[in-house]
Amino acid sequence: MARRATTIKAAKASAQYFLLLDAGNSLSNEFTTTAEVPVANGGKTAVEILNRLGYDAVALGDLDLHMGRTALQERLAELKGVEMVSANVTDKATGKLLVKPYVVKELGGHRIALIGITAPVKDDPDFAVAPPLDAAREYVGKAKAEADIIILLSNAGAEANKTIAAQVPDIDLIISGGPDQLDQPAQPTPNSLVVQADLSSSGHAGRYIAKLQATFDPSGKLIGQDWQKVELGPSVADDPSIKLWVDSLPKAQPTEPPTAQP
Amino acid sequence: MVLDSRSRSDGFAHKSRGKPVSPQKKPKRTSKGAQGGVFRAAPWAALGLAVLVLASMALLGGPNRLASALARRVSHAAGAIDLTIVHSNDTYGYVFPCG
Repeated sequence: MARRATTIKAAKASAQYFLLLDAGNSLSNEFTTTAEVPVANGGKTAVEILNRLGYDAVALGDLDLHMGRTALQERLAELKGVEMVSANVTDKATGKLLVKPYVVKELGGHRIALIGITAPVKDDPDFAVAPPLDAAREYVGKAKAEADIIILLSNAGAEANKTIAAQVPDIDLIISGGPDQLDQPAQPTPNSLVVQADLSSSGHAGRYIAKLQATFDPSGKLIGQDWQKVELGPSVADDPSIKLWVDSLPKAQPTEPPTAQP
Repeated sequence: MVLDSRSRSDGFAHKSRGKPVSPQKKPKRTSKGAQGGVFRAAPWAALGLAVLVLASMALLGGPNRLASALARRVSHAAGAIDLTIVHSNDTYGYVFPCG
């Protein structure tokens, strides 16, 4: 995380206009009993990571829903200045969207809509997830009334996101997450782009981050891009203040060997 | 539509078809009369605005398209933008990368 902070700060320092975004599954995975303390503590440290790094918007991920209604709502309340978005997760108890479907940020005189899309889940006791393509159609249509640049943060997977970009007009960019690897940006239509920093895998989680330089014309149309994937390896220095915080966290507990079944 | 000065009721000259017209003598109006004029004009102004909005929506394909067109028009003044986006996904809240 200290290396991620270094990369983010460097990009922000040289940018005229800057956004820090996450496509989802930033709070949890399905293995909630993992030995890594930040996951085992119910996502509290994960929220602190988002706050400290200063994310502008984060999509609610399907794996985040594994936390359950109570824990998830507690974590959402702890976010400070970070917008958690999803246009297709409803709370079964109320029938309403769990978080905002999108937010609009104004940068350089442009209004940029950031819409969250969550991957489908099966038989969740607390939440229902509408099909991503349907949700994208509905909320891109609504957001267009308020913005001239449309960005989706979607953990539906790279292949599904390419389909969404091809079938829903007016999407400029999809920050992708979830299954499927995407080593290079995909361009499903002449003026849309799909990018994904890392593969969704417990063997990856946080190993890569990506930087996109996107140029939009005065009407908000994407006309140029330069994308780089950054491996957060030893060549990236730790950010001192974040490292200090990380070092203060409880150390990971050794994993207990699985109990032999009779 | 080009208005002819003869059709105007405010007494001011209007350039019509290139023919200059001298200002006519403006009739005296009391403030009460002016207020009455405003009240008389208000419904017509509202009607005109409504017609303009409906015509724009019909041309553009609905209220969302109209608002979108207006949003884009506002942005035209801003010019092109170079936006730097740093993005991540599926970090699972890990402090240290896994694997």
